Amino acid sequence: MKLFDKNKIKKAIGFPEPAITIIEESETGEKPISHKAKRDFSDFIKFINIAILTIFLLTVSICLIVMKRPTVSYVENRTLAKFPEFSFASYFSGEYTDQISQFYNDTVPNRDKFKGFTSNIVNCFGFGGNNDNGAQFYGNAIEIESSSVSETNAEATTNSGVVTTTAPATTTKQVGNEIEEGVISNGILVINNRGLMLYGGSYQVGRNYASYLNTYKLELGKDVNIYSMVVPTSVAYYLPEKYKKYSASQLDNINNINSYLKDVKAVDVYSVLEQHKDEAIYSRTDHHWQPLGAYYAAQTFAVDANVPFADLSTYEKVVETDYVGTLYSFTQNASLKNNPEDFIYYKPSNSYTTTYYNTAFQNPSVRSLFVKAYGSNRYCSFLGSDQLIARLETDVKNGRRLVIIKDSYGNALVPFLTNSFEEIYVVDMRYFDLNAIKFIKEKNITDVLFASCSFSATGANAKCIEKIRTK
Amino acid sequence: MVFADLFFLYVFLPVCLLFYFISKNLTYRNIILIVFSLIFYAWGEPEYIILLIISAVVNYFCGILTDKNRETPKAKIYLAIALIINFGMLGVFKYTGFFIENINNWFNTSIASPKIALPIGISFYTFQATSYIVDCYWGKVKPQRNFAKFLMYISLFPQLVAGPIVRYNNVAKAIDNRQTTKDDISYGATRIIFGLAKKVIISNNLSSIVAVFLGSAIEDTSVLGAWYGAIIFALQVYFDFSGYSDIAIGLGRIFGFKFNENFKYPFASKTISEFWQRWHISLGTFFRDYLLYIPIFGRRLEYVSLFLVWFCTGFWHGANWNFIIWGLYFGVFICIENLIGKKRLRKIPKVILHIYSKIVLIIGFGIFYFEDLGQLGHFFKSLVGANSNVFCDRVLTASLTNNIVLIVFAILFSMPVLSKFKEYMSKTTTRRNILSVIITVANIVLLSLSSIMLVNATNNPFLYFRW
Repeated sequence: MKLFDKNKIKKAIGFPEPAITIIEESETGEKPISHKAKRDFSDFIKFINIAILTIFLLTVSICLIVMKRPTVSYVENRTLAKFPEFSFASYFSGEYTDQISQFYNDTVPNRDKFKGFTSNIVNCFGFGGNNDNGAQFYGNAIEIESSSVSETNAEATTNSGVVTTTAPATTTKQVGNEIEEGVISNGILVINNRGLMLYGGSYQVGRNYASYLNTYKLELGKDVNIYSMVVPTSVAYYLPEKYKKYSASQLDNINNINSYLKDVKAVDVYSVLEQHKDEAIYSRTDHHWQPLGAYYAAQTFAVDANVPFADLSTYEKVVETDYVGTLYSFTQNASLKNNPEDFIYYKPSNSYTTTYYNTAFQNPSVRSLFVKAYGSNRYCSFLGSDQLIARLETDVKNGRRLVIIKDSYGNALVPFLTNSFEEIYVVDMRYFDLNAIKFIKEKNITDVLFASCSFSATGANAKCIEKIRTK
Repeated sequence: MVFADLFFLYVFLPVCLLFYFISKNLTYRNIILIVFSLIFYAWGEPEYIILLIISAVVNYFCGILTDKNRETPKAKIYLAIALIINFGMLGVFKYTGFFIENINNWFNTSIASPKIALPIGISFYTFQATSYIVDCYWGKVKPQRNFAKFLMYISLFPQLVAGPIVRYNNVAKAIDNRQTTKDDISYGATRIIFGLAKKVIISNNLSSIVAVFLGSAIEDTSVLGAWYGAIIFALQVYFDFSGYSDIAIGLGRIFGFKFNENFKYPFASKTISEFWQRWHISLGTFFRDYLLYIPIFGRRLEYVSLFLVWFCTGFWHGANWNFIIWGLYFGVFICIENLIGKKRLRKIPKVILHIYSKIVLIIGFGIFYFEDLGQLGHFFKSLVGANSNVFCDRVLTASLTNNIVLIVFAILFSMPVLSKFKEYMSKTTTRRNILSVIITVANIVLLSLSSIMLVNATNNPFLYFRW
């Protein structure tokens, strides 16, 4: 059958006879022991090795089966996998067994502790310190070519040279390719024990955002005041100079938005927050601001809206310690985990009632404005969830009724406005099933505040504002 | 099921070992191995277990029939039947989507592509079955007449999912008669734990670095970043794959099988030919021993068969063009090395050979990474600085400072440092004693660390933020 010299071909193909001597890994070979030699314990130690490993394997196996398993992870802010229910269909698709594994792996007792331990191991992989040199990037951080507002004309470019079309979808590249509501990031940088979400920005989307607000003004007329509050995120103030290239200017993006607003009042919180940046106005370990930041923002808004405003001293201060927020959940960064912060929020002293509704403004239920929140989820200490509409009726009698159309940044403003308006409706731009214009008219609203962070105003969330107007 | 998984380590494995070792009866042990192998396989894909069994049945009968009809034309027919079914299965389940996609591209048709999930391990067990049936035909092995034993050979869970491709003649004796000694267990367990550590501690953590540099940001990756990403990816794949092979070899040893080594420090190679004698050895020898025997090319066309082998090697790794390019890319360098000749290669200073082979390998792993050819183009541009990206940036320096220890250890362990150490430590009795203590301690430390890091594997925070 052989038509040619196989050895020659073997060489040609790249498989010459093995030239390397193989180190025999087998340990079964007899070792000659001379009389002078010390006693060879290695055989006995092998026995010990087997014994220790057997005991270890059995102990861990049994512990993992008998110990109580957690059902939620507060660090990751999610419900853990559940044991699946059997069905033949799910069995034959492999789903059933797959879910058993998932359940087993996901609900390891003391899961959050082990995860923290892993963060500390990973921290040993390098020499990142807690200074400007100890930066760690997560996700796809890219350098952003600077461009000022004036350079951008009609079809503005986003940073990094990507031309956005009129579709207000993305700015720069996203983490992964999923562009969903509220997704807009250019990676995360952890530095000086602080997590910073790098900002991509988009002048085009910002301009669209402004035009949506202008339309609200046109439709609601002069009797309703419209305000735009675009809150910068912490990266605007805490990014060290040498990393500036990785985040776009939020000030430029906000100014860009403001330049397109017509009869809509821009609330300038950028400079106000900058004045207070040495205070704990932003969380270090979470992607939100702290209520204190919201207080200063609300104060600015109250001045612009010409409504009364209660001083912080009149509030009851609540301090939650050992707070490690979402940026740790995302990055598993040890310096965030090992440096928890306080989450401080403030309860107003005047009297008010809070009624919650579903996203179609149905099923009212009267509950407290404040709820107990755990783990990385502390930011939800007020209002609880974005997916509810809240209505606050206060003891203020000034005829002013406010609708806040917001993302989660807006939540923190609410407790600071109970002394300013008779009635406040809190609506999330992403979770509202009604026509916003109709809603505002029906409730005899006098003021509409659009309050969101810059990521929403120049990202995919901006579209939601237009969507709820035309629902 | 996969090895680097808590469920496997702390449920499947202890239960399997318990059942296996309660009796010394070989038939009982074989049955236990079959049952657990089938459970292992069916854990992920209960439906596809039928393919595994069909493959076993066909090759079992064809093996016996080729042997019976030795030296007659019938033998060829039975061989052909088995080969057609083996490669037919592989073709249908692995390559259908690829072929249809390409036909649609070329002829502007729109044939609907059936959604076929790649059955786990099909590339490995069909190759095992093929090696068996060809060996039967050549009379190199006596066909196994006991179906259960043959099924055990095909389905043995240690090597079922990710190799090595075990030859029947390597395990034929062990299937009929094998014992597990204390040394086997100690050695096997150590091998499993070191393999697990390679995968969980080194490879998994390297993979998150790779994602940053070669992931969706490849267009913007700096020049050095592209090289760095590809180097880290090469290390990641090595530790992943060789870790799995270590676990397979270790498990095999505990059950009394001695599988051949699949990796021998491939990055220590001076040439590409040498690399392929050290990387995924069971695949290379498979192609060497079986594909080259196909007498379709005359002597003059030996380089045609060379490229055929490398086309197949690439295509075997995945149904995608980049894998084919990847295979042929290596073919080109091996061809060049052959043209230069071994003697002349030896005259070239070692340093130059190492630099040459490392550069070829790094680029090769880049090709392996990018299934999207457009992205691959960006990668090439980044490598040579043909796009306007910077040479080096802070993302790279930050990544290096934060992972330097991991990377240094990875490079160190990809070289024969540990085996040299072991060799040195085996020379005197005292050293041997110390070595076994070190191994015992290392085992428990590495197993604990790997297990803890596996808890993190299901980390699933919101991948994007909701504001």
